[in-house]
Amino acid sequence: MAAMKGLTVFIADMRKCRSREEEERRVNKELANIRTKFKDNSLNGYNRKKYVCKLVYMSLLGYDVNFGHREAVELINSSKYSEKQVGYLAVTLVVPEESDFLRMVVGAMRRDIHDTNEFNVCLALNAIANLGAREIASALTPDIFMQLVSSASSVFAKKKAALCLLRLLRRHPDAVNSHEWATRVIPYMGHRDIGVTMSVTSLVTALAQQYPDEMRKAGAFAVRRLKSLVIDNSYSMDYMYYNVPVPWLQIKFLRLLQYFPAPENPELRMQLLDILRHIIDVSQEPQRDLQQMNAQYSILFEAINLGIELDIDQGLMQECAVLLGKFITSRETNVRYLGLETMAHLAAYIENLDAVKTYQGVIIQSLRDRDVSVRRRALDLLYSMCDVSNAKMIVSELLRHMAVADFALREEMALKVAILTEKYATEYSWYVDVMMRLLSLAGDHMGDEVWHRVVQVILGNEELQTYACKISLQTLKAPVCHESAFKVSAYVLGEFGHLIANAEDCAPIDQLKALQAKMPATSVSGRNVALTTIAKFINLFPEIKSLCLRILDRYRNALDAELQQRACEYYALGTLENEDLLPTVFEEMPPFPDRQSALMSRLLKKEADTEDQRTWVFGGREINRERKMHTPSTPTTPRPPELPEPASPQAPASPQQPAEDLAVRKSKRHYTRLLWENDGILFDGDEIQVGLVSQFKAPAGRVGVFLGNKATAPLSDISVQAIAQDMNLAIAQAANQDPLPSALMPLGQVRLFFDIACKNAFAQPPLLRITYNIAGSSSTVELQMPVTVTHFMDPVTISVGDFFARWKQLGEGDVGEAQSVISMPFLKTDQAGMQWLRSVVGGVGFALINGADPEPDNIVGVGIVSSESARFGCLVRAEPKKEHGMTRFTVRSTNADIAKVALANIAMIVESK
Amino acid sequence: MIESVLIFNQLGKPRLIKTYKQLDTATQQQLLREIHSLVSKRSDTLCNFLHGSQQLVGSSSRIVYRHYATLYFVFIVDSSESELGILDLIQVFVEALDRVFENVCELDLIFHFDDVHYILSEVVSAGMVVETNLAEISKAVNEGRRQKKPLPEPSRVGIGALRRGFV
Repeated sequence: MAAMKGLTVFIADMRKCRSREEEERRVNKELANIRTKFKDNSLNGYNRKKYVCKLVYMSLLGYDVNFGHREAVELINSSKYSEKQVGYLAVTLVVPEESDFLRMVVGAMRRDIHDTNEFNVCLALNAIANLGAREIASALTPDIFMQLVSSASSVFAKKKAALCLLRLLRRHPDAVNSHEWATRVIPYMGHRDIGVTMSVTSLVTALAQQYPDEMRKAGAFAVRRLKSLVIDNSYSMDYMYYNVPVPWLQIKFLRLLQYFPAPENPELRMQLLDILRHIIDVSQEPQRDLQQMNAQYSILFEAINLGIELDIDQGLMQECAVLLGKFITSRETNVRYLGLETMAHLAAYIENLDAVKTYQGVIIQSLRDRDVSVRRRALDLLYSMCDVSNAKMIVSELLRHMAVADFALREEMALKVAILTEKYATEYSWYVDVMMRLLSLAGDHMGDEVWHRVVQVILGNEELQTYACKISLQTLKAPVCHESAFKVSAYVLGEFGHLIANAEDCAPIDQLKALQAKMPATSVSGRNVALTTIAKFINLFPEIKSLCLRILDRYRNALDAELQQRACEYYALGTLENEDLLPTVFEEMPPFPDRQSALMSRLLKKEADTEDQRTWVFGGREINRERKMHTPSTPTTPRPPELPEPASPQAPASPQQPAEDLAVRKSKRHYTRLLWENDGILFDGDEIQVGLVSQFKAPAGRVGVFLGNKATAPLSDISVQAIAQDMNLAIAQAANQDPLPSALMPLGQVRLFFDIACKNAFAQPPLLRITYNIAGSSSTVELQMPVTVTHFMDPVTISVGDFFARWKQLGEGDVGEAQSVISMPFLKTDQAGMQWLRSVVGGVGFALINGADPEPDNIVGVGIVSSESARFGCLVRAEPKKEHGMTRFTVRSTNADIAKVALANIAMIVESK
Repeated sequence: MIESVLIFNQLGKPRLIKTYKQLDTATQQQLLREIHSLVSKRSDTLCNFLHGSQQLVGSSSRIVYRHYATLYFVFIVDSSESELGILDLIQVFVEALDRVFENVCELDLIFHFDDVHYILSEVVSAGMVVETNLAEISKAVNEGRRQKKPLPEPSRVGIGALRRGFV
């Protein structure tokens, strides 16, 4: 063990600390010590390694370590293995992925990958597999691929290389050119080394989701390898795990096969069936110990999952159902848990649910299992196996269980009850009864979507309304009434109270009294709904108008602003001379347009965030069938617009592309505008709109990104990333912001701020990458951010004489000059054209120096770009020729990039007019 | 995919935190506290899987854990992993530690936290299992060590063997 004495002593010291304060003092002392040591340039490798190790240890204990990154990078460059190893460890553990230091290690990594010492190769590959930064993906993918396929590389390197590729593929699918090499990795699934096979199979599984057709032949490979493991027993004894041959590899193959349709080749199909049958048979033999049972069952469950997914043999499925029935009563909690989960998978596909329904009693029992994990699985299964025949039974069981269920489970349970009830209701009274009970029982655990949905359903079904009114009134008259139930009742009576007004005890005055009696006990939002109902009563029942007005009058002095406002407005409406307005305002609400229930999207959202796509979700057959049809094969490519916009008459030649081009042209326009304006829209698509607000104070800046949902469905899994394209520009999410919500409702908006620092002159603006899921498919939008070097330019006024002295001086070096002649036909006719041109030059950030140029029409300007490391002067001269409708622009700067970018910005703006 | 690997003791003191998606230190500690509070109050007869409904663990993620003597070994995985497969993998990882440290105990993990990382990286890489053959794992780790200069073995006092297997 290569222990470092100093490190051991430090750890021992830390362990001696009696309190967190004492520990903090010790850490602070050490941090101060390490900082001084790192300032010393003569620090030797051993000490550097020791101190970096200490930093890693401190970060494990939860102390923020925000220095020492440079030293970690230096260690990687060391020729000593032990130092290199610590360097890579620190880089993967304490150096943040967006750090500039990571860019500095790309070179060292490439060197190590090609090193003759395979240990260095493995260190580098290991670090890449753990980091997966974008720079690494674009720079090193070919080198890593070579390690996988080269005959010279060791098996250690091969297995790590395969996982590196997997990592980079997942993180930066656009940067690894996977289509070029995807099919070339398949043969390595047959590698004699099991470790290599396993890693490559993981990679192939990811590729199979991206290229389902191209990768299909991997399926045949998997079947053959499985056969040799399961039936022919050909494997090395080293890979036996408690008498089971490599369970992980078997699982991997069985998982991979779930991403392909059942093999068409009859021989392969037979082999696969044999394998599944064999796995099932083996699992029935008595097992020696718990470990062996675990391993065997892990394979069995995966085999059952595959059988269900491929749906290849009904007999086999029935057999599985029986097996699962045994599992869900097992004494082993793990087995019960997995039995229930797998049965839910079965229920999600099987034609005939009878096999599952046999166990309904046991499953309902499992809702009372001692283990919350098992209870949760039982809930999922009940939800999946529900259909018209057993809905009433399951729903009533769930309702009964609600009162004692875990808090963590109640929300999900309530959502599921609401969905099942709506889906399988055959009698209106049942729907209303269940929902009212649900709201009373679990109102605290549900979002507003549930009661909103109940109102929507009642509004949309005329047959329901009378019954709903009766129940609403009953609910209000009950001794206790939950907030959400109160809101529904109030709303329903306000709309349809007249339907029951002639029944006994349901007279308008009874309705009003019942409502009024519960008002003091409800929250402000509940009372808001009630006030609206009372205002509606004025319209519905003129006989109680005076009573209603009296209540409204009292609320005119409410402390809450919203209550007060409603009361005042309704009171005013009720006392108007003109009596036509009231009936118009409170006309009956039209039924809601038929749309997907918000409950469903809320539930589905809970299943989303995995690296590999799920092959199924909880729920019955319909939803899984539908899902299969809609799952896009390539999740990362943006969805094409569904309806191409009508081609404009000027461009009939390319009918395939107009929608795409139009969007690009539009977003280019937006980008250009933002080059000289601080706020505005950057992108306006069919589904999302992106707006920017920016503020620059060279060399720093802050950009706020506003993302709005223009679609009719909610967006989920939203991520907004800003990616610097130039190492001299740093852009990162600002600290202390609310995280993005997990779903963005239609018309909703979120915002995110980014901090920007200009380190030096830069040429490439950063990219904004927005990804989101909508209706089950994911989209990515990449936009260039209007952050260029001229945004860090401040206008500077210099004297008229100095301008040309400086202009000549800069011109002599001839390094930083950019020039172009741009056609501006409007100059010929438009009198204001000249003025506009001046505002453009000023808008880009130059101070206009009036009278410096002997030619009066010419415009000259001066600006200074401030970056963190240097300042650069920048001069511009525009020479318009009105009669020709042309202008020559010349920009000179001490930095060539700045001159180019400034000219390009001006040109873009001018050309967009 | 395996999202993170945590080792902590009964009091919730971290012995290893490895996340395969980078998290800052504060979030890591929060994750550790959350998982510790969930796992430590579960009795050993309950199942080894927990649903991640917490804030930090995605709602479709599972917590798969094993309890050995004084330590908890926790893998947080997404739904594309087999729960039992991960349970077996934890056993392999522990057996690998046991082989490399020769009868491993909590102190080994404290004073050689770096080695624990190196051993883990031979078992799991990029959130995927790389190797499960104990002979291969210990070969890789030991040959890696041979690259360094051999130094005398420090003396250590065990506080309870992990070999007993999971309770």
